[in-house]
Amino acid sequence: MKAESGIVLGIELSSRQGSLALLKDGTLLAEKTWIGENVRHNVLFQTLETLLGGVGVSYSDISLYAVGRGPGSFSGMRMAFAVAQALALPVKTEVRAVSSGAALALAAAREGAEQIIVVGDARRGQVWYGLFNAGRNVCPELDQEWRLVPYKEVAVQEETLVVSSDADRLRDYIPQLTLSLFPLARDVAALALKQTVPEPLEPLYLHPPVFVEPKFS
Amino acid sequence: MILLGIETSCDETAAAVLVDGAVRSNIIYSQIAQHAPYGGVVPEIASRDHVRKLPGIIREAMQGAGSSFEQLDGIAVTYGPGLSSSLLIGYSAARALSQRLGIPLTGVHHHEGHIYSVFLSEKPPVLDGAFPMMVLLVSGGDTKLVYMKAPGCYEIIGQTIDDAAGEALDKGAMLLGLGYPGGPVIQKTAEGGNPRAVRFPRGLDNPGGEWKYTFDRKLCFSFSGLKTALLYHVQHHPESLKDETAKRNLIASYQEAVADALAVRIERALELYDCVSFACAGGVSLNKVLREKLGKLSEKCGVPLKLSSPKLCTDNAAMVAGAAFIRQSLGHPFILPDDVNPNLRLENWDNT
Repeated sequence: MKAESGIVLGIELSSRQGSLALLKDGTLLAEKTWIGENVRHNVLFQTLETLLGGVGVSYSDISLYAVGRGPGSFSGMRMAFAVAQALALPVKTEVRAVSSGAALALAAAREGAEQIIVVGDARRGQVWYGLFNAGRNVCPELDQEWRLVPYKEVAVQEETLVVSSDADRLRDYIPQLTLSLFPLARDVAALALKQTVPEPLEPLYLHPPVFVEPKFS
Repeated sequence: MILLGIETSCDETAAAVLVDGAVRSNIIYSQIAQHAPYGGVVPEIASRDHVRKLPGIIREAMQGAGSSFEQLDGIAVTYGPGLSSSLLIGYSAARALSQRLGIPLTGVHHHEGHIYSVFLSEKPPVLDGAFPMMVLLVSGGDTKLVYMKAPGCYEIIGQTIDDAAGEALDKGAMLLGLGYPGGPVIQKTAEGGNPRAVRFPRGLDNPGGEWKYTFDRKLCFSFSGLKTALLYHVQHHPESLKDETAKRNLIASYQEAVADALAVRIERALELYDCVSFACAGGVSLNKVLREKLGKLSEKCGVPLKLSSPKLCTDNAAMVAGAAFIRQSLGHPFILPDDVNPNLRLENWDNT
């Protein structure tokens, strides 16, 4: 079955709001979200069961798994990939990775914005951000690469909407941050269906894994 | 019963399939090359690599066993102790797969996996006549003596008060500029050396000082003094690193001290406790000098020794599925953990 005409399970765990959604033929069938300051395993796995059971969908009905690849919480992103790829194993179901930032930009575009900055707290005094252009009926596109900069170096033009799932932490540093949203699994799933160029099947890490010099190099 | 095992507690990504406790496939992807430049495991590198590699490793284990996912009766996964971010990958994948297939998932203590690995092979495990058993658990992260009256009945009677044996080998190798991991490289460079050339301490040799632990001091380990003694030796005898023979002798003596410290404690334990067998498990149990010493001890005291086959000594998933199979076959139900536990304690089966 082609993914576009079947059931898609979207998995989005890159922010402190977890989100799972089912799309059938591109239309939202069901969605569940929950807030967890830390990764909450039981909630994710129980929600997965109730989401599917609630609309009478079984795993074998799913033709595509769509995963939000961040940027965002490392643990959340990794869990999302581990879960999606494991669910996909038995019958080699297709898995597509989607930028969670693009999903957030898509949600912001519904508010009418065309120029959108998606920003997140990268900790260690830094933020990551990406500028998206959202035309009508088009998926938001990342204008340039994601950037990792100190808090005070985020430059925002007047007509640009700034959106973040870390708004509570970043408002003090970025006064233009007006929209607080979390990426949704429905948008991750929708973007996966419209994807023309595949994204790598791994989390989008903006920090290198280590900050110390190798000992034997 | 067909079980899939999954292990990601540290820097090995592993999956295995066991049929009625017999190992049918045992796939291990070691990340050593990625961590070697840092002289130890970097947790963030480990968890990134687990995400990348685990799906392919599971697929390979299934193909290697000639099993289909629909044939699985259960999944066993390590849920602690270990690196939290690494444990999370295996746990998430295992739980998702168990839900996808509608089969039970059980959590396994990493050390239980090592312990029961001594019973595993291509044939179903036989535990008859092995208990009470004394186990020397030696790895990069832990060194302890566990007395087992029966399967699933654990009494920790001694442990290291500072570094683990594997850590002592890693740190010694680092100090001598040999690379990482320390165990294999020390064993290789010590070959042909005189193990009695330099006298290193065996730890806790002197009875003086305050003893704040509840364990019998004679059954505990300490490797920090050994490491310091090596440092002082190198500082006072810099020529020992320049001459190849002297260097080989130094490394052989250091390895001898680690192996001897371990062998002496298990010999004491066998004198104090009634055992019909003893075992050594964990990554350091691969060490040839240690294996020889334990073999001689077995001959000397007439107590049979159980060692894992080399592929089951380092972290692997066959031991995880094996421990789950043995537990279940002895009438103890699977346990579904809610979460990973990096500090998981070894609990008796009757308490879980």
